[in-house]
Amino acid sequence: MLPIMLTITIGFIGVMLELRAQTEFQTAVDLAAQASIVPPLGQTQASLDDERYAFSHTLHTAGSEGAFVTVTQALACAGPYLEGDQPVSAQGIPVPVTCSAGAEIDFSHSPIGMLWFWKVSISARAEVQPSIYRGCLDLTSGTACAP
Amino acid sequence: MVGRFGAALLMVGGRLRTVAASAETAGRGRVPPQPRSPGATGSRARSLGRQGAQGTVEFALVFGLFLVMLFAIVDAWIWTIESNAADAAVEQGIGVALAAPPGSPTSTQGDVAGVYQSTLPLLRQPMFGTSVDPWKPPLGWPAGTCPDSDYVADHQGVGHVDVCAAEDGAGHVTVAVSGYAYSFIPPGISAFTFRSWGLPIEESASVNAGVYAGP
Repeated sequence: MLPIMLTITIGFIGVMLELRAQTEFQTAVDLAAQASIVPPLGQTQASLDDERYAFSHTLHTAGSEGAFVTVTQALACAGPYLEGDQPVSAQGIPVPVTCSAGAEIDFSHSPIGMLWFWKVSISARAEVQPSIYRGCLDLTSGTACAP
Repeated sequence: MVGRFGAALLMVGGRLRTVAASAETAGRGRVPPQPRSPGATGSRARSLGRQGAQGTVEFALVFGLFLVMLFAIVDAWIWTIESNAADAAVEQGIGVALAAPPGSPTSTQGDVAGVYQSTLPLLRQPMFGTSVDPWKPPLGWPAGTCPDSDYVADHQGVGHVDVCAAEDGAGHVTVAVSGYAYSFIPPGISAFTFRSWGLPIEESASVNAGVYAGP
């Protein structure tokens, strides 16, 4: 009876921690995608810096659930906005910027590893649509262009 | 569910059959009654009493362990809900902070004040009795930083979570939710990692929000 109860308890806590780690990882990718379109159109290096800053300052690998996460596939964002272009679809919607990353959850260095002895792979993907006005931002005056 | 119920019925049925069989055996008189001395009867009664006491102690131990594990499961579940809510609040807060303040679309500053209006109502509902308040930095607190969960618990106790939005002056906005939410962890266990009756809630994110409108 006792081993069954212990298995259920550890299993449940493991599932909860995995859910938390996955949510935090998804949030980090979401915010990185949002941050990548904050710099004005065409500032590729600034976009790259901002998305990396947001990702690394959201995923806390020293935290309670983040401590089990190891990034295996580095954050990568792509989209025409990041290359200085802002095409729109037939419906007038800007083509999105897409960010993705991958990680592994490893409980082997904790008591949960007694049951969860394998590594769990997770991945996250986020899409954001840049505002059209950013493509018309006047960099010399810092104001939006007149329509 | 049906399987467990069926197994329980089988167990009860099996015991009933055993009792019935022994009663039948006794009734038929296959085992001739032996004369017993008063001393032997007393010894058997004492043995039965010891067995009953042993059963009670075993039940208390198993039931105690069952309760500990049940509370661990409930705690983990509630903590997950609360941490996910904190995560969502931080994400929403960063979204608000990335936008320019109302009335100044070309501002180089993020809308830090708007973070509280946006996240506090979102966070108060799913915290299960833990209070949520905006962070009020004390005099001399370093700009652009937010407190960790231990600092909040040291100054405001367990069962309190602060929402913090801070800008460091270089365009970086940090939004954090930190503190200790109520839990079932008793003082004895809390010596290891956690505080008595509390589990840490600590979610934060930081983005660069100051470059978008600048030349």
